[in-house]
Amino acid sequence: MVRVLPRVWYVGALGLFLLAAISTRAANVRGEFLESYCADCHDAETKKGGLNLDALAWQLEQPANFDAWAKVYRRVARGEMPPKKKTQPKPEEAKTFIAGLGGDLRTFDAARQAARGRTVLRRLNRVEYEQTVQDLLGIKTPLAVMLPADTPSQGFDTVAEGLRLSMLQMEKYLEAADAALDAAINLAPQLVAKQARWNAKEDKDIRKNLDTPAGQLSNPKEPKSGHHVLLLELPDAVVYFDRGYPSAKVDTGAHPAGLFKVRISAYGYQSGGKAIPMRVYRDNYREKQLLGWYDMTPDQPRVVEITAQLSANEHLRIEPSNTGVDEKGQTVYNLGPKDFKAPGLALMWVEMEGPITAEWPPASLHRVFGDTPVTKIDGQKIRDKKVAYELMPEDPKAAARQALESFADRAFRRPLEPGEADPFVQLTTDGLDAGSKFIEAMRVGLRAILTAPQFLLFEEHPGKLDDYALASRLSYFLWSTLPDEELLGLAANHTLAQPAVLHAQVERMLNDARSQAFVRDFTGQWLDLRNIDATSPDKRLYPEADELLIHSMVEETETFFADILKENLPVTDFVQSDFAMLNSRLALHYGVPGVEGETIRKVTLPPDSVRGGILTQASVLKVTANGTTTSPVRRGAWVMKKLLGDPPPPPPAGVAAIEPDTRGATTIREQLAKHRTAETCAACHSHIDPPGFALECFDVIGGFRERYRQQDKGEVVTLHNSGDHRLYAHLGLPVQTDGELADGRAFAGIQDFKKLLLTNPGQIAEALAGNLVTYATGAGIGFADRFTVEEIAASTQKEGGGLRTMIHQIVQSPLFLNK
Amino acid sequence: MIPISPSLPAAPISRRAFLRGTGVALALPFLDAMWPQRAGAAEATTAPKRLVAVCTSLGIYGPALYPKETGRDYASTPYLDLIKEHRNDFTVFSGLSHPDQAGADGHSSEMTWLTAARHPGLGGFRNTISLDQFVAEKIGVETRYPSLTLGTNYTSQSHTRSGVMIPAEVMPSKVFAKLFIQGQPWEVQQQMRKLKEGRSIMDTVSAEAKRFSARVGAADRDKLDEYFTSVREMEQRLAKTEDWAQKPKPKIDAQPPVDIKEESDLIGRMQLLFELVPLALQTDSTRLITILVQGRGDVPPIAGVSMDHHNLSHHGQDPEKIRQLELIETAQMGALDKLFTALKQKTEGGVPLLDNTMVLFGSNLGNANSHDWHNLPILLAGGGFRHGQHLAFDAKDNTPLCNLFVQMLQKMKVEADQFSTSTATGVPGLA
Repeated sequence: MVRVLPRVWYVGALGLFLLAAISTRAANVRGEFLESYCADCHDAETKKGGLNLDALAWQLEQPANFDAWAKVYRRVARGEMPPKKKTQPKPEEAKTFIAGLGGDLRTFDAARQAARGRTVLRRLNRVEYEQTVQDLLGIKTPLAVMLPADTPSQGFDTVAEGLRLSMLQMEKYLEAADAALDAAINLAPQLVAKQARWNAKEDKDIRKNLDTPAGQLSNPKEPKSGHHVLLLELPDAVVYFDRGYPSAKVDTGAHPAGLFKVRISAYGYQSGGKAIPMRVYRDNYREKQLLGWYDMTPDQPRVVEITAQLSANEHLRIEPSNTGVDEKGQTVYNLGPKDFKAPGLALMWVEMEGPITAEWPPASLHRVFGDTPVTKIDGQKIRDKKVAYELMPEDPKAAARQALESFADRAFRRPLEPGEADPFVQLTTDGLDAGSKFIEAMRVGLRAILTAPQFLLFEEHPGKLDDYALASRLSYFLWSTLPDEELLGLAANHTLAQPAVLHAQVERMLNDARSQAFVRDFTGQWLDLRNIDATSPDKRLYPEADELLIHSMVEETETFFADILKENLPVTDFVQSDFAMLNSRLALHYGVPGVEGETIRKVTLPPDSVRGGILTQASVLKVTANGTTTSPVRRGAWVMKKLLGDPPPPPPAGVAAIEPDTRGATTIREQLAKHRTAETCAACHSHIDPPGFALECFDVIGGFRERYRQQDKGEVVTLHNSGDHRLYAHLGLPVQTDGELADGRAFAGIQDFKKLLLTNPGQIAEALAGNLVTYATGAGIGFADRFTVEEIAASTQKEGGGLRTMIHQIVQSPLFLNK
Repeated sequence: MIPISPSLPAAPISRRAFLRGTGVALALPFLDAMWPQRAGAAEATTAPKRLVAVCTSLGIYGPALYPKETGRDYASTPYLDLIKEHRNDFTVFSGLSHPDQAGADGHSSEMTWLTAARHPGLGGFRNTISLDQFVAEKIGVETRYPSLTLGTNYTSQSHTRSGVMIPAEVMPSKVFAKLFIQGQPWEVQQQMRKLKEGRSIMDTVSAEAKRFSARVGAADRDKLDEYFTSVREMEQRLAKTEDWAQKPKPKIDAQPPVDIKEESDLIGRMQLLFELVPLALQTDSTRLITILVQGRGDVPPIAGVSMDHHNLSHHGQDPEKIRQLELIETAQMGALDKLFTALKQKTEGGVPLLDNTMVLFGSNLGNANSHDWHNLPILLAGGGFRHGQHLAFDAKDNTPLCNLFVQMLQKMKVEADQFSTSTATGVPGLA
């Protein structure tokens, strides 16, 4: 349990002024230190680094002034100021100065928080909005895309500062609520699930390719228009050799939108005992989306089962990977399927069943209309084939009140106050009075609830959160959606805030599948996984960057985080772990033997592996590079910010970035050399560059390298980290991965570097705790928070350093329990 | 060809519907014909000023764009050759940029091209209002749409006062329908009902927010004020839309565009968006348009281009990549040339539309190869300035682009002597 700062939390607004007055005197005492050791460079005349202490007032109530003093504190506390070459204060002088200034800043900040709370009024972000409305209504309709993008602040889109409101936002809330209600109010007749089976050997297009005699001209006047048979017919299957055309369009006929169960049977053909990856897409001719990929066993049929949400009439499309060309580089197009001796995918059949509906009429009607009965329309009376159910309450006004009160109660995540639903009921009854039908009138009240401040905003009061606010904070932290009945029940009987109850709830919530939202949304932002598709790797330099790899990368990092969370492994595993979460594609990429199949599982790494931890995961290495080159500066800054919690300042104005050059004459390392020599650059770059140097042995897709790749010239080598052995690259200059940290400790490469990072596990834990607190509470880490975060990290470390332990520590900390 | 009239069915209008009506053409240039319809006879004699801002997010390859010489007698360059017919209608600028654009990543300045907010995406970054929305706040009420926000994907350059990005409209056919295709009477009725419902909802939630406000602390009031303002503005907007919904949409003699399905066809889709510009401006449906041409991570269907656009922008001095990049940008300049031509051909009161329309074209990256946001490529055409020059400013110590923005605001007759990071009310040499 984290120690609270008891006195401070109760200092009111008046206290702020008193504190400011007292601190003015304290500042005068400190004036001597500043005068003796700082004023030489930071006076009105020199203003080095833009800091003029003569003009720096003591007005902490102004955020900019507070930040300026916090920066003075930080630079002195870290021993960066005064600079080594200047007169140094005696250790006890520095200590007194740091303690005095730090104490004042901390007291002031804590008092400000006690009076105002850390987190300002926060609204649902669009991810939370979507999940909340979906859960509230029992629908699956995507809604986030309808809302304006949120601007992350302090690295996360849960931070209140960045979550602005505008007219545009209101306009889109109205539209999104409409779309959600359209989906929820589904009165259509129940869809009958149908079964369809597709046999490759009977498909029209496949038969055409197989049965048309080779060489037959499609255009009699064009001798080059001769037919090519590209598929091979086996007794039980049809073999696809090519990665592109002709891919299998699985035509199972027309179908409505919905959830489908799909079974596919296929196997690897003449693949030399190796599995052949099969990619399965949903396709509507305009765009196709990968549903998944599967390593299909050699020679023995494997049946894959997929559950997929399909739009109306959308079909499946199946394509093999690692096929297409034989060892001599010949294709099936040149040789014909009978003489072609390269791997292929033998596709047998596909079964599709759906749409699957769990309950009809859908549960969403009950969520929206409460107790109002949904009745089946008498077959005789059906006028519109699309409508089979109706709502005809005997007393529409009473029914509206019941339904809206129950809906608002859930939407507002707390019990309604007396009369609170009246305005919404009024909207609906006004409509009924004006002659609107029940459903139409209800929609207006429902839309108003979904646009109301009680729904969109989190009501929190300075000081300790009330039980319902706590239930919401917990639920949005770990589930990104509204609290369930159990949480609300504990809030209702005021037991939720008890440490043991909180602990049990966190355990329950983390064990619940809904916690995947936390894993996805937190890692997506902490580790920038949301940017995975921001750049596409240069196909000529990185031909092995296939869809399977990119797809697996994000999964790797998410499952890695999830595993550390589940097993309560130490947070230092994010720096170095003896295991990795791999499937066959990632294992090939990393050169880890013996991993087969597309399913990600935990693999113990060989002792000499460069992998382990997040820094060496392909996803992180990809999002910290562009598609062509890597930059130690960019990666180094990323490591400082994300893993060490020490973001470097942005580059000074007027300094141009280094121009990447892939022609092979110089390496980025050579171009960066001046950082080490120019003193003005070195101040920051001696910190920024080293992590980037250590990571230079990984290319833009996280492959291990000893030499850079370059265009068109240089030694050609076959790429080993791909299922396709024909891929090759040109090699350029060697990579240099050694360096030294700002404190002078040297490293030879990534393994050494990780060891150096691990000598200070506290820093790693603090950085992660800071990120988690920011994400969980919707506010960045302020000056006073820093100390609590340190305590969270320290007590986590004391209890074994586990991630799960850290989450418990955070939830039980005053940062989480107070506004 | 016939004008689209309220009696025609709503979108999509079939090609045949148009062909049936061949022969019924408008005798007058459209804008002249519509003058009397405009409110206020006094203003009707002066054509309104418009602003169009086009940003291509992956930079423009400098060596092919910038002339070596400055002033009027510069020798043209490969890119400027592509718009040489309009040489006296545009000014090319070098040495302009927004200060402090080091941001969350190399492309963060994409969100600040028209706002100039510092350090995009870092720490507690908050975006600020974009140039077009700043003007829209002042004059937006005068047109059916205060502004149009277009783009080749969802992302746009337009940001509201609270820094929220306005999602871009991507489908030209939808924009066209919104501007010109009159709904059926029942559709208009339904729209009116929705608008009225929207207003009563806003009314209700605004009262709720008042109650809410009594319960939250002082620190939260600012945020709640934001909610209030949003609701109030939304109410006003809905009322305004109700007014417009009852007025017929302008009739024009152009066919609705057919959307390009292939997403990678960036230039084709950019071109289609460009074609909407003269139509929207000429009918005074709006006076403010932004278009973000967002470079993509795929290969555009342009002969000779085999690598994806984003990658090419990180050319690493590879001559082949530069060659392909130039092919894409040449196509972009071609589309710009057509836009200038179209805006010149349309006239109002005998004056080319371009003379009353400022077209700002450029990028948020000065050198995409290194994500450098200094020395932005900037072109300004039309709007009644004296053009035909290359105005060069210090490449080491750039002049704020916002100085030019202020000058543009003043040309728009918007009273402003400051915008975002401006340090002056104009750039020297432009008049």
